Amino acid sequence: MYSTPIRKALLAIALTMTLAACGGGTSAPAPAAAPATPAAAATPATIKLYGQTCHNCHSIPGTGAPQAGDTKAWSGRLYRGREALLNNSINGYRSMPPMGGCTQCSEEDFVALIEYMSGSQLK
Amino acid sequence: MALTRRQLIKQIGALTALAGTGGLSSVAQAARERLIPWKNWSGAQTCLPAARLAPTTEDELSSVLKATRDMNVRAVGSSHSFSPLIPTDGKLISLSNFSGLLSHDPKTLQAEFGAGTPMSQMGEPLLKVGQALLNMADIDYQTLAGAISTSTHGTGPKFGSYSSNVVGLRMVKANGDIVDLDKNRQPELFNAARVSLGSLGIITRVKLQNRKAFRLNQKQWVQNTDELIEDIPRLVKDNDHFEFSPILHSDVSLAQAQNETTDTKTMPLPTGGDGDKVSKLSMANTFLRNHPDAHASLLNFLVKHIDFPEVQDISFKVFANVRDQRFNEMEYEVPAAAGPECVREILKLVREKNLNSFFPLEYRYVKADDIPLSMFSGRDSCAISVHQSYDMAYQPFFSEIEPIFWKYEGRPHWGKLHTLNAAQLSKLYPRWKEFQDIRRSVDPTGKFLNGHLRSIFGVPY
Repeated sequence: MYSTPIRKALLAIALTMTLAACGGGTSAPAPAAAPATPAAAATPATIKLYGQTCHNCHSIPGTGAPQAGDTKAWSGRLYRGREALLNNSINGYRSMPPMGGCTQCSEEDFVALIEYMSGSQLK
Repeated sequence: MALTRRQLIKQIGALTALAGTGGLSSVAQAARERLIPWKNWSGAQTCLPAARLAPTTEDELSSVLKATRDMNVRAVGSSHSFSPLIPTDGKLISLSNFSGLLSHDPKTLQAEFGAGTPMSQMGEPLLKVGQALLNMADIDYQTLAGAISTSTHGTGPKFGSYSSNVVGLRMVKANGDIVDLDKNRQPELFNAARVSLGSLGIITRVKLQNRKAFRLNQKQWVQNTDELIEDIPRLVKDNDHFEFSPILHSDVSLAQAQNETTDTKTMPLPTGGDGDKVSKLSMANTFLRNHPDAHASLLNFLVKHIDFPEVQDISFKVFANVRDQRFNEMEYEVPAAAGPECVREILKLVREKNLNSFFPLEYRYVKADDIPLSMFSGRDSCAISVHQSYDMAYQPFFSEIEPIFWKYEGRPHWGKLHTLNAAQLSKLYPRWKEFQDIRRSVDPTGKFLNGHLRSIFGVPY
């Protein structure tokens, strides 16, 4: 038999895992955000870049990536602001790979892609 | 690094000139545009290229290569390789504009794609013309050119790597020449270019031998690892595609068998990635890695209670998985017969030394081919992969495991991490010199060589 501390640790892990399995998403609730300004219509070049790269995760439910067009999911990220989202896009963040796989994207491309997926103008 | 300094001097010169005209009030203000580094999928490899280009035509690409004289050039696909194949302070060329199905032949079941096509975007267009790839890897994030240039593969002893199914290529050489290659047109260069690590030229089109579209059934189950290893000969013989993933620090593995089926009932792959399952392993590792017996007991219990539903669908919808937990990876290809002994030794060492990693191993089989630089050149192989979470140091773990692969004459996967150089690699590849001779003949100045390639090919600066 395991010692009491280990039994407690096992119990804690089992409980945590059960809760995690039942809980779905892991994102913390976002603070109330100011109303978003709708993004300008995406250019064909942006839509093409989206199809080449972002599409692989941002159109597959359950990957943890906010889905393109899911304004609720994006509102939990947009409040962090333009710089934070750009940094995450360029350097990667958790499951998000650096540059989102778009090796030729410029800063403007990343902004346009985030605005296209979120439907909101970055501030 | 000389180039970076030169660039910096140029930028400072430009800023000084602008400031002199009153256009800028400070360097800080002028430097608002950030420099964007390149990083690979895991984030472990990085560089700051002098230029990031995405040519739209082969002629444009040819002009870029002709005009490049004082720096190296590396082509980039999806940046999914773990080894430093890409880092350059020269020109980084994206193949993203060379994408999509270009042509197909219903008689030969061959199809030509732009080399920058993501593997994830090949299944649907092929299905529309009644074709399918013969086999696929468990990740489809790679681009076609990246996958074939590193001999990327799936599993199944009757199936070679993606490279073995290449029947034609178009490539832009270092001197800007655009060449079409196949078994009748420059056959030696063609065969070498099927696995070249991007060192012979930039591939813009790839023609593949495919098959008729088909459906695939997938079953996964958890089993005692020792029992599973004993049963490998039968499992490999009875299934089109068999692989298993030993769960580190436990006594169990996740086994997977995929077989062609004519059953039209569809049982789709569950949506989402494997993040939830990997998180459980991570959590167990965090809390219990100092209590190995308890760790093993919990993992044995936990993994047996994870649901792995049966999947049945069009082939490309079954082969590939979403990997939403980033990691670094080392993989070696050992002779097929040595696979069971090699994996046993790795698992024993992990338990004995309580090595710090929680990602499962991966154990697969790949058929031999006749490509000089392919890891499967001339020998049926067993591919064994070890992983480390992207946010944990991989060196301490991989350095413990790598000598085991050497003992079994393993060849490292070109797209994955390893520490071998030319002196060691040349002994593992019977046709090493043949490839190096071809490389020197088509790129005598080493335009396509970065530091990593110079190390593994033995080409000094």
